Parts: sequence; C-alpha cells; structure tokens
Amino acid sequence: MALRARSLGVAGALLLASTVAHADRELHGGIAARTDLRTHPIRIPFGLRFDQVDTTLVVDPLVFVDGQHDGDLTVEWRRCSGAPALLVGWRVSTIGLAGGHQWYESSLLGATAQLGRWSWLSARFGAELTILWVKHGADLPTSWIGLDRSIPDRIRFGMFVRLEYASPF
Amino acid sequence: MRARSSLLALAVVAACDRPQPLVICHNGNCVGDAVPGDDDTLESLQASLDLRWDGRPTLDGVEVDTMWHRPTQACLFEHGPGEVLPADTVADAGDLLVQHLALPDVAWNGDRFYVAIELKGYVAGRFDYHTPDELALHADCVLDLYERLVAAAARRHRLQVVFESSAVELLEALIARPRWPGRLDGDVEVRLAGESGGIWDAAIQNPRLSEYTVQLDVMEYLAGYSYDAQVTAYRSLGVDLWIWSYATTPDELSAIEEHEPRAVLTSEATMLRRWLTR
Repeated sequence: MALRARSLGVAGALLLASTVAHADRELHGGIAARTDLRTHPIRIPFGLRFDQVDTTLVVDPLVFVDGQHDGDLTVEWRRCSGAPALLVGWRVSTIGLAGGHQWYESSLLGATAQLGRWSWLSARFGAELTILWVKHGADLPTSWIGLDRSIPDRIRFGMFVRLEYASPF
Repeated sequence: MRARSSLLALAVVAACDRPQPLVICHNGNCVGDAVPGDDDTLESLQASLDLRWDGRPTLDGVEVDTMWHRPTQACLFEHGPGEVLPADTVADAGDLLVQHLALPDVAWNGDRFYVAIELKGYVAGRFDYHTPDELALHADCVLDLYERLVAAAARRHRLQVVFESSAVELLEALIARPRWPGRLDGDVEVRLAGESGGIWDAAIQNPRLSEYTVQLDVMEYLAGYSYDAQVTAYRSLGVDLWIWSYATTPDELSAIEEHEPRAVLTSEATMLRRWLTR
C-alpha cells in the first residue's frame, strides 16, 4: 500500500514537471548569482516566457548597500523546450555620486542553458559578453566607447546562475 | 557588558567605513577623454591641477610621464612611444607643478601633495630601449624635477614623490645616481614603485614581481585585470597598493571597495572624488 502511494506520488511529480517543462506560457522569478566584479553578485530576476521567447527583468536589491543599481532587461530565444537559449539584453548600471547619479549603459550578448528542473524549481546557467557603450549623467562629460586604449576596460565576460520559481499560467 | 556592547557598536560602524584612497590624476590628464593625444600635455596638466570639488582641490596628486627622447635628445613630458612627439619637456611640466605648490591649498587631503614621476622604458619606438648613457640622462632629468619640487614645497607643503617604472633598469639607474636621495620619510617622502598590467603583463613585457631587483614601496596594478593571487602577493610584500585604469567602470569601484588601495590613479578624478564623497 505504502509502495503504491509512493509510486503514485513519483508519477504525479514527474507529470507535473513534464507539464511545467512543456508549458507554452510561464511565469518565473527568483535569484541570480554571479562572481564578476562589474555587476552586483546577487540580484532578483523575474519574467515571462511565451513559447520560445523568454523576457526577464533583473532588479538589484544591493542598491541599498552601496547606492549602485545594476538592472537588466533580457530576451532569450530557444528552438525548443529544454534547449540552450540565445540571450540579448541591455544593462543600465546607476552609480550614486555626490550631487547626482551616473548611468552606465551596456549591451549583453550570450547564451543560457538549463541546469535542471525539479517541479517548480528551475536552475539556469548563463554566460554573457558585456560592452559598455556610454557613461552619462551627473553633469559629467558623456563618454562613448571609442577606438582607444580604454576599450578593454569596457568589455567584460561574465557568468551567472539563476535559481527560479517557475509556474505555467 | 556595556564595554562589550560599545565594542560591538564600534565594530559595526567601522565595518561600514568606506575606503578613502588618494586620488592621483593619471598621466596628468583628468579633463576630457583619456586618449593618448590628450595625456601629458601642459594644458591638460594645468586644467587637472585646477580641478576643485566642494571648495577644495579635487586631486591629492598627479602623475607625470617622462621619456628620454633619443631623436631630439630631450627629456620630454610625454607618454609616447614615437619618433616624432610634441616638444613639451619635463622642465615645462615642472614649472606648472612649482606654481601649484606655491598655492596655499594644493591637495584634497589638506596635508600632503603627491607626485608620481613615471620613467618610460622606451626612447623612441615601443621597442627602442635606453643605452647606459641614456639611463643616466633620464635618471638625472627626473632627479632635477624632484629637487625643484622639494624646493618649491619647502616650508609650505608636505610632499611625497613616487618614482615609478616598469623598466627595472631605469629604477636601478635612478638609485645608482649620486644624487639619489634614498627613501625618505618626514615632510618629504620618497618612494619607488613597480607597475603591473595584470593579465596583460606578458604581452606588454612588464617585469614579473620576482624580476624587480630594487626594493619596491608601491605596486601599481591594473584594476579589473589582476588575479587575486597577484594582489595577495603585493600585500605580502607590505607595499602600498595603487590601482590604475583607463576608464572607470563598476569594476574599478568594486576593486576599490575590495582591495582598499592606498591610492587610485585615474583619468576621471572628478567622478571618483564624487563617488568617494557620496
């Protein structure tokens, strides 16, 4: 009897996971962790997936610690459910200065892949190339990327992991 | 119990202290873009020395690049490399620094003005190196500048002069000159600095830490491109950490918070000063 109940439970969990993995529309949100210095190490992503396209907004709670906010808007596209996805996006970092804020605007290009999926919990790994195109604001000179020696300072490679609650809707 | 609570409160407050590194103007250019043509010009040096924030000088100090230029047999205030370069000399840059030291208020810190004198390792093109005679001429040139700065600061301001180079033979030639003042403490401090471009060191032929044959007081390294192990090695030497960069990005700001360097060499002094005083 106990064995039968456990089997039913496992079957139910697999069915739920299968349903979630193949849902056409999905709501997700959780935590994103990274190690590079340019962007805060812990941030909060949340978003919506419609079929092959997943749109995510990432907000930064560590702004309350040091006044820097790193926000992303990303779009991921995958050929089919479970496949790696191509990522493009835009990052706006806001640096708090005395008398104002300076804005750093960067493009994102990368890929993500699903590490695992357990019922409502999803884990994704991502790698991204970041190019800082322009700094502006705070009555300081606007600084665009140029063909000069500061270019290496404006290009960075980063990796991240997202742990998210994901649910069909 | 009360003492323990006070200590705990003190620890919490102390843990929130922000690093306050010295702000040193990189290549004498903290106005406009950090492009080689704008660095190490008399105009950019004067404009940088004139920068003020919150009623005080923005800078704690300035870096000047010096180059013994073989084609013209002159000691130039110049980043280089190049066969044909502007004719501004180290003596011209010295004139501006001497004028600055005549002012009553010369540094943000209100205590000491810092001058980092870099000795470039090439004499024309990137791979044209000093002859023994040129090593001595270059060393004498920067010692001339040093002596002028000491005289200008005397009885007015305290001064630290840092001689920096990624060419070990130049540092060796410098300390071998009879006029070398040695490491000084007090109103005038004299220091020697090595340079690292982090992961780029091999490509730009910077010496490894083990290849410095002179005792370093300061290590300058490229923030955002240096391994933690490198920074740990610098710390283990007990040297002052100075970080430098071309463009200030969140990487550099994070490095300031993590490494707590003694000084930052930056082309964006106003931005950095405003970040430090936010």
